[in-house]
Amino acid sequence: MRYRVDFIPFSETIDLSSEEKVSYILSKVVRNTILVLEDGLSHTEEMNLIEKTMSKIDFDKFVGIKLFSIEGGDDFKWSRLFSKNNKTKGFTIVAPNEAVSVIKDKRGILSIRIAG
Amino acid sequence: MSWRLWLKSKPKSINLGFYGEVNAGKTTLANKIGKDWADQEVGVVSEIPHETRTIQKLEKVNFSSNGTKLDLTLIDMPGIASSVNPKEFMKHGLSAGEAMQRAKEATRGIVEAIKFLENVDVALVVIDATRTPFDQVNFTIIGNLEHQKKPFILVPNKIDLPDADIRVVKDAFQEYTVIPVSAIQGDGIETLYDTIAKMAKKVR
Repeated sequence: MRYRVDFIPFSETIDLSSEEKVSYILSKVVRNTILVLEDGLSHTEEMNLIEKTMSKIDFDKFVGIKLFSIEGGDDFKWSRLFSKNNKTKGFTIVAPNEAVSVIKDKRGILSIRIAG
Repeated sequence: MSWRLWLKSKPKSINLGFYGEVNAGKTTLANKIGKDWADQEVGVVSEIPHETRTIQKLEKVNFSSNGTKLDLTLIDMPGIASSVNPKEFMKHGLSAGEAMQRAKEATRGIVEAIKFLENVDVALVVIDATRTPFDQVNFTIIGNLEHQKKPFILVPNKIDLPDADIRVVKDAFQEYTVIPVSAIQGDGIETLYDTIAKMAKKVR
C-alpha cells in the first residue's frame, strides 16, 4: 500500500467549522492520506473525529485511524515547519490505522514508522 | 425530621463512569467496587479486546467513605479506540464471523461511550500502568472531561504487575489527581474510595 503525506496549512482549514474539519480529515484519510494539520484539533474535535471514524470503518479497506496531537509549549519550535506566524498552538497528525506504527511516543518526541 | 434534614442525610446520587483505553481494566475495577459495596459484579472480564461493547450499569450501590455516603450508579463504558480491526480478535482465537460481529458491536460501543460522557457526574479514567500512557485516547478523554467540567480521577491500574511504571504515568499527568491501584489485588483501593468521596462533593 502506498500512502501520501499532506501537510495542511492553516489557510486550508481555518474557515471550516469543527464538523467540516472532521469531515475534511476523514475524506482524505480514507483515501490513504496521512495528514499533518497545522491547525491542530481541539480535544472535542478529536473525540468527534473518533466518533465519526466509527461510522466510516468498513473492516476491509479502512479499520480506523491513528491520531497524535502535539501541544505547543514554551519551547515549542515545530511551528517553524509551516510558517513565520505564531498562531500555532500545536499540530495534529491523523493517519489511516494501518499506515503508521508508533515506535516511541514521549512528550516532545514522536517517532512513527510509515508502512511501506 | 424536617424535609431539609432528610434531604441533607440522603446519600447523593452519583453516576460514576469508567472511561479509558481498551483492556485497561475498567470492568475489573468496576467489578471490584461493585463487589465491595453491593456484592455484585458489573460485567464480564476478558483478555480479548472490546469485551465490553455496550454500557453496563450497576445501580443502587451504597457507598461510604470518610463519612460521605453516596448512592452510586457504576457505569462501565466500552473502551474508547480510534480503530477497530477484526484481525486483532482472530489472533485471540475468534472465528472470522465472530471477529466481524465483535468489531461491528465494538464500533457501536465506542460511539455509545462517547455520547454518554455528558451524563457522567464523576469519571475514573483507567490507564494500563504497564503500557505507555501517551496514547492520544487518554489525552482526548481527559481533555473532553475538562471541557465539560466533570470531576475525574486518573487511575493507573495493574500496579501489581512487574511491568507497571507508576512514575511514568504520574510524570505524564502531573497536574491531575492520580491514584494507582491494582483492581485485582485491591492495592490502593481505599485511597481511591476516599478520592471518589472528595470528587463527589464537587458535583452539584
